[in-house]
Amino acid sequence: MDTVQGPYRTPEEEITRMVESYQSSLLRLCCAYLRDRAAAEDAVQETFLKAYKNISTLRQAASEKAWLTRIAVNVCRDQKKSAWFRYVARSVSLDQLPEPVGEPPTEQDRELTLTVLRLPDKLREAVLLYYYQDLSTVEIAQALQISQQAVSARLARARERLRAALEKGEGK
Amino acid sequence: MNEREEKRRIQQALNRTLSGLQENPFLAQRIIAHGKGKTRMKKKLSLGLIAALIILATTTTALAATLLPSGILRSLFKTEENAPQDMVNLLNQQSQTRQSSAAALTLDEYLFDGGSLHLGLTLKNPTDNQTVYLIGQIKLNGRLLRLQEYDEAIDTLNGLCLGGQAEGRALPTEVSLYARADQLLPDEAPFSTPPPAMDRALSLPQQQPLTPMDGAVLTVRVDAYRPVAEPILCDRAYKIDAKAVYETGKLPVRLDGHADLFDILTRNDKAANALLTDSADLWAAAQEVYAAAGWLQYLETDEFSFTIDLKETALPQVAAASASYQVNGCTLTLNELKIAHSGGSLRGEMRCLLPDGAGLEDLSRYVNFQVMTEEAALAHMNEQNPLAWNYTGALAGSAGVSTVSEEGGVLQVEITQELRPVAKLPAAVYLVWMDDAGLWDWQTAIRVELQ
Repeated sequence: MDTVQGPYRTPEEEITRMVESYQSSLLRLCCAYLRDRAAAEDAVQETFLKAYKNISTLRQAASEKAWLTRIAVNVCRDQKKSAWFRYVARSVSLDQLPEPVGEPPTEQDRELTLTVLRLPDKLREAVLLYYYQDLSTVEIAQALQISQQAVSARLARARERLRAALEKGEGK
Repeated sequence: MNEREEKRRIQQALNRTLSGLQENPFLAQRIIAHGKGKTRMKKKLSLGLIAALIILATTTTALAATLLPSGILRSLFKTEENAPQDMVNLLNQQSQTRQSSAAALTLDEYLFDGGSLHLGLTLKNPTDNQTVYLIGQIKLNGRLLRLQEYDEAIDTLNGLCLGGQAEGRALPTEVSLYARADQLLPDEAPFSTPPPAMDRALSLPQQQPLTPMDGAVLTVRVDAYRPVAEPILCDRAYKIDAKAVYETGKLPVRLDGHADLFDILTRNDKAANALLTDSADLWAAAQEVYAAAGWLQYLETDEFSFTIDLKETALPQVAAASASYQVNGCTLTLNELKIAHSGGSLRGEMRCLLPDGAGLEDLSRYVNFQVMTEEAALAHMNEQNPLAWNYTGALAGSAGVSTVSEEGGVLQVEITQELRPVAKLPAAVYLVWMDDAGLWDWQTAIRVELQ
């Protein structure tokens, strides 16, 4: 588990460090969650703004990463509830994503990503938090305001749907 | 494959595929500058069918709200640059401010497009005391307005929960609001009982459209409260299935004893298919909840009045000829489909032969379609713009249902749908259904020409 930074930093130093540490992973999380790059950028900005405004509460949080992820999930959910978002149809494709940096994705990577993106919302958020953000089922239950059993059930259902795509890349 | 390997595979796949997403190197500075009130953030205004709003204002660590040059035009067209000149000409930006001992309300701007009245307001806390405001009633010449849309700015900024102890204090001392009203309600009916859950006979009340008038008096009612138990400010919470463990009949309360503003104000669980048309209902429902919970001490009620002119106007529009279409085993008859810069409307009827075992519960499958401009629809069909959508193409989400009946296995649904404003009048629109996985079914999309 990551540790919470000590209370000796200023809020400005804290938020700067958090943006440096988590911006990238939260951007990917929100993009996969919202299936919309521009909305994801807005969501990440909103997440850090909320974090900055509520940074005092971080010191009671067990895990900084879980705390930020929880804010991000709720911001993404808010975005999905907003009228702007509801008015927008989203097909799922990777073609408009910017050119990958570093090691290029394999065909299996692309297929697995698409399979995750095409999961129904509830399963997708469970998968992203558990498999991608590496949160525990307890932390996910807190973030999503559902029981731990419900988290496990969603993960089991998601695993069924992901199985074929996962097995394709096995051993590679 | 074990779980650790599954995690590794998924993380690798997402990291590699999404690695091109660019970090913003100036994000931290922007956050800090904005938090200190030095700059404005680029942020979409969020519109919703919420007809009441709580604003908690605190002076401890205040965040200055940003006033847009025209919140109305940005709400309608996302940016002022997108706004057609016809609409810009209708904008009145002569601000008027009214103040009481507990609140200061400014009417920054308004726009009457011939059918709807768009309002841009700013509410400020002029005191040093923590105060909760509730805006629930906006009237025109003494008659309650039906609010079609209401800005959720405060909601998206903070995600309010009520009850418990204060957890966060970085809230605005002033908030800009946007509201759109399009009809006068017949009576100022007090909140009584919520609509029956999943009512089988949904109906929309007949209301009086807004008409041009000079010197009309716009009245905004603001209730001011002092927090008693210090409202808690927490991340947004959701009532999900059985996890709303306590329910009063109006309000789901979470496990930790907090209620979510979203649940308080929309009561979606009470009327899944009904349109929210009565702001008085919502306002009174929220008041009941706060009073019952004893969270707030009532301070005062202010009615701020402004004089506005609703000028006669005739915006250009395009319309479709009446026609019937076959889709998904249903017949859709379009009786009216018209679009102007200020928005449009769709009226029609859907008749479906229900599959075995299907019932009214499956209603959403038949009426959950989206209206899109041809340009946006073609971009989607060609998958030219799937992950970087510019929000300009879709005119409406799922349909508004006015009446439903079922006879001999045939479902009949009357559909009324309000369509969003458009910067450019489209030559055609597509009606696109959504499948069970939440993806749009382009195979069955219907193209409707407009003239």
